[in-house]
Amino acid sequence: MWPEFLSVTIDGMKYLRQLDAFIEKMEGWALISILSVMMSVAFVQVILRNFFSTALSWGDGLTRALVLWAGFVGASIAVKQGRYINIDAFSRLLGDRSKRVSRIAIYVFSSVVCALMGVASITFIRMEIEAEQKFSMGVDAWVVEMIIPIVFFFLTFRFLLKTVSALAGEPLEKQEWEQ
Amino acid sequence: MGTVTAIVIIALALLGAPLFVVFCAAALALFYFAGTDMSAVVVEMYRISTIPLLITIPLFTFAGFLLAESKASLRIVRFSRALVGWMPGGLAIVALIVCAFFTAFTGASGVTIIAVGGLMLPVLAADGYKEKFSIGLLTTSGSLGLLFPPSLPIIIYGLVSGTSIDQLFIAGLLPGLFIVILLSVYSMITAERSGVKRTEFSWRELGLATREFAWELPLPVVVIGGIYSGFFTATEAAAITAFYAFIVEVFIHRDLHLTRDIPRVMRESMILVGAILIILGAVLGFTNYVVDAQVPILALDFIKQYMSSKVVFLILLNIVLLIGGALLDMLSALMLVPLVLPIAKEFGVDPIHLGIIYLANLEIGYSSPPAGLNLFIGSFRFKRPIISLYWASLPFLSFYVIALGVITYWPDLSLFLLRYFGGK
Repeated sequence: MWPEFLSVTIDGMKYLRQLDAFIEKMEGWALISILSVMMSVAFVQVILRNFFSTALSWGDGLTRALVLWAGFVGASIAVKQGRYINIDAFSRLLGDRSKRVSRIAIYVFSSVVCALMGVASITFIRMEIEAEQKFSMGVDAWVVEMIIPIVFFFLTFRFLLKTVSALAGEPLEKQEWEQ
Repeated sequence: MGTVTAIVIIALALLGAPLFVVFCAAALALFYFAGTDMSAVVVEMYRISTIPLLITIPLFTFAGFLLAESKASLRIVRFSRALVGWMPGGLAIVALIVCAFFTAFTGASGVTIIAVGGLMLPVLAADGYKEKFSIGLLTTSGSLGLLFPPSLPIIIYGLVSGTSIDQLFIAGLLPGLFIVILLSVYSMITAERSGVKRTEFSWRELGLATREFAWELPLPVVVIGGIYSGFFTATEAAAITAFYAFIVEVFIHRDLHLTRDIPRVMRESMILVGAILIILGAVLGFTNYVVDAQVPILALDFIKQYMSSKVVFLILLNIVLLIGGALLDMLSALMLVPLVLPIAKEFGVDPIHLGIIYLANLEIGYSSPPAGLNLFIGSFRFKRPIISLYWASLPFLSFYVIALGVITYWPDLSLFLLRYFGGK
């Protein structure tokens, strides 16, 4: 049903997939570390504020940055595992073939949108560097903000991988309740 | 060109494209056609990191996941069963109370259905409740505690509307109870009709159950008491709740193992937070464009041509919000608050009351076909096709709509307590 050369491409894709899985593992550990630090710092702040009338001067800036990172990294894994929030009511009504075609369209569309967002966030970061924006406590804002283009390019990569496997006739990602 | 783009985006959204991609695409397109650099979308998206209360979202979500993954659900079920299980429809009422408790803590993120739904469904079936009733109850109750503190939708409404979160917490109490009572009455009648057996009340069982649940019982007290008394801010309450739940479930009950379970629970909770926050960010870019284009003012002028009465406005508001809630997710619907608030004020609707109306609508929208989040999560958890959940939810939704009518046209139900506690 699909051209022969694609299966050759799939073999070549092996390394890209391993890379994808490696990124996912790193992201998982990043989330665990981010949440651990966020929770500890936030709790220490409460104790310091209420019982010692003081606070860590860098505490609130740090937790704010960590929430941003947790959000983007978490979203990245959510896409990798096909657990993003979407509207599934209508796609289920489609037959196998048209479902595959629509899924390919969605993956292509998503990779284009994520690539555009990646490029747009690079522009954003350039502006922040030029404006010498500070995030908090003298930390350059772009250091914190780098997570945005990084995740959007990861997402582009992931949607492209999904496109190729859908084209190659591999089983489609399922809605969670179908598993 | 603009129309073609809009059609493509909407079509792909309906075919199941990720919602954050849909909102990013919509924002990119709007800014592109307005001749603004596309980096403006990222500027808007990045604004989520400047919301001071944003940290309550990961912290309360993690606390909710800890409660959900531990055996806390078993303990609260046993506790509330001992407390109200003897009433007609007792077990269904237990399910309502437990769902409200969990939703208040997990912010209607679907954790309630995952944690409580799967647990309660076989128990309800064993007691003789019909499957359609049980599934409808557990699916729609996935957002039941939305009006109780410390629910995240209340916090988000407070953030985007600039109203006091403490006052919203107080205002939500009576309307929230009203919905729970209404659904309890419906459950009682249904249980009596289908001949569900009642259980006996026992002081001994209540004592045992209370002792078992004693460690988790302070959680609502810390949150509600701490915030009401002004001793904690919402951020501090979130930090304490997360830390306390961690200590209780890992070191006291030992339900979760520090190295075997906690990393997984942390990762899973943050994946959910990520899936939500990235949509929140994308939606910020989208609504900001809409507000910048003065859509609220244009809408107000337009609306004023056709109506002048508050009652008509409120009916229209409810219809729009119900449709919006059924099509959008909760976050996108809440992002429309800056649009609605100036119009509502013009019609003399109190911003706090508007918040309660808004959240009551979202509570319904969460379970409304076609796109209510509860339905997706319920279909995943109960392993049933989503269409069957549409039907199961309908009777419950009709009671929600009745409650919504009362909440909308009886402002005092929301504002009454504020006169005594909220300094209003």
